[in-house]
This record gives sequence, structure tokens and C-alpha cells, in this order.
Amino acid sequence: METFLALLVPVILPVLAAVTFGYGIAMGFARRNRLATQLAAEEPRLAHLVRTNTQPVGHSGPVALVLGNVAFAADAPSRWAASWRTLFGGRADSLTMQADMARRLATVRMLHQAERMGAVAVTNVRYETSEIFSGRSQQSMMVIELLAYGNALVPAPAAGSGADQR
Amino acid sequence: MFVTNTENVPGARVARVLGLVQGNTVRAKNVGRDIMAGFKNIAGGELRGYTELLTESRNEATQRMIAQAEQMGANAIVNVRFTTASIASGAAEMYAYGTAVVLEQA
Repeated sequence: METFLALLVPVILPVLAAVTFGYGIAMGFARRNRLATQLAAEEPRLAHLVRTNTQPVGHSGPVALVLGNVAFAADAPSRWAASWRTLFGGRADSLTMQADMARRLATVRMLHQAERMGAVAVTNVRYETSEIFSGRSQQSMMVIELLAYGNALVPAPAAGSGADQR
Repeated sequence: MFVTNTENVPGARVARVLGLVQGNTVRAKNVGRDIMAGFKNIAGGELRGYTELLTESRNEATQRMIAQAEQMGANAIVNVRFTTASIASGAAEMYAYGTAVVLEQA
């Protein structure tokens, strides 16, 4: 017990911190790489779905609301680095990249939903970013939610008059 | 109930505007999920438990909005918007609002 207490501050705590940090960096990179690969595969495939954030013009088929969301956390080492960044201000590159990735993932999910409906476009897209479940312990937990929603345009059924939508 | 986030609906005409409808729900995170999320928080990435939680609660808020519109006798809600906010430590509010209307075939 005494040796434990003697070693606690000089050895055990730094080792725990280093292990947590190392895990955060290594796992964080692995996770982000996996996500990047997934996005790189999905985004070109869904690129045919036109996205705008304006109202649809001249569409006569059915429309439907589509949503995509993701709850995302940045890795602890990046957040720690960014907290040092606040001393001088400036750009937190790692967090910028991660927020962007999460938003792209939300977009991809929205487009998946649109794709399942056989939509040709998603219009009137709105994005929302919010920090959720935050409180006094902001430092220890950071969860952001990225939400993308829009209006999917589905082509009118070609039956009957054969009238085509513009 | 037809729900859309645009003001106009192709092929339909707004016959009557019934007014603003809204639905909200506040969800607290649950401890079991929280422990897992705490671990994941170190490495970052998606917190799948939370994504599901948020999707569920957003659906609930939307359902409440729809229920309100039904009570008013609407057949559609247009110009729907969603917002999320952290209102207390460990609780998030999902809010959905839109305009309840009666749509007619144009």
C-alpha cells in the first residue's frame, strides 16, 4: 500500500495518462481512417443525387422528408491540443477536419434514405450542428450532433399519360 | 400526414393555413450507454448509442408535432425545421416545428 502511494504520483498517474493518450491517438487515427475510407466509397456513388438548399422548381412527382444524423465525438488528444490552442487563438485543424467528416457522414446517411426511395435529388437541405449532453464536465465529454435534412424528389410514375417531370 | 421541409408542395395547393405546430422531447442520456460513450470519447468517432438515442427522440418530437396537426384537422405539415439543444447537463432537447396546412390537389 505504501509503495503504491509512493509510486502513484511519479509513476502510475503519468503512465495511465500516457496509455490513455496513446490509445486515443492510435484508436482515433484508426477510426478516422475507416470513416474516411467509408466516405470515399459512398460519396462518389451518391454524387448523382443533386443537392441544393433551395426550393424545388418544376418537379411534379412525390416528395419526401429525408434525414441523416450522427452523434460524434472528437478524440481526447485533439481536444486537449485545441484547449491549448485557445491561449493564442487560431485554427484547430484536427477538430475542423473531424467536424467536417461527421457532417459528411450525416449527409451520406440522408442521401442513403433518399436513394432507398428512388429519389433523383434532395433539395432545400438544411444542416444543423449542436453540442449535446454537455454540462459542467465539458472537458471530459464532448458530443456534437450533426443533422442534415432535406426534401427528396422522387420522379413521377411513368404510368398513364407518360407525362414526364421536368 | 404529409411532412416536408419546403414551403410548397409540387402538384398541390395550400387551401388553408392552420398555424404553427410543434413537438418537443427532452432526453437524458442513460448511464449504461454513457460508460461506453465515455470510453469512446477518448478515441473519438461516432457514438452509435447516442445516434440511436437522438434518432428515437427526434422521431418522438416529430410524432408529437404530427399529433398536434391532426388535432387541428390538417393533412400536411410544411416548412418543417428541426433544432437540438443541450438544455441541462446530460439532457438534450429535440424540437420540431412546422406549419400545419390543408393541401388540395392543384
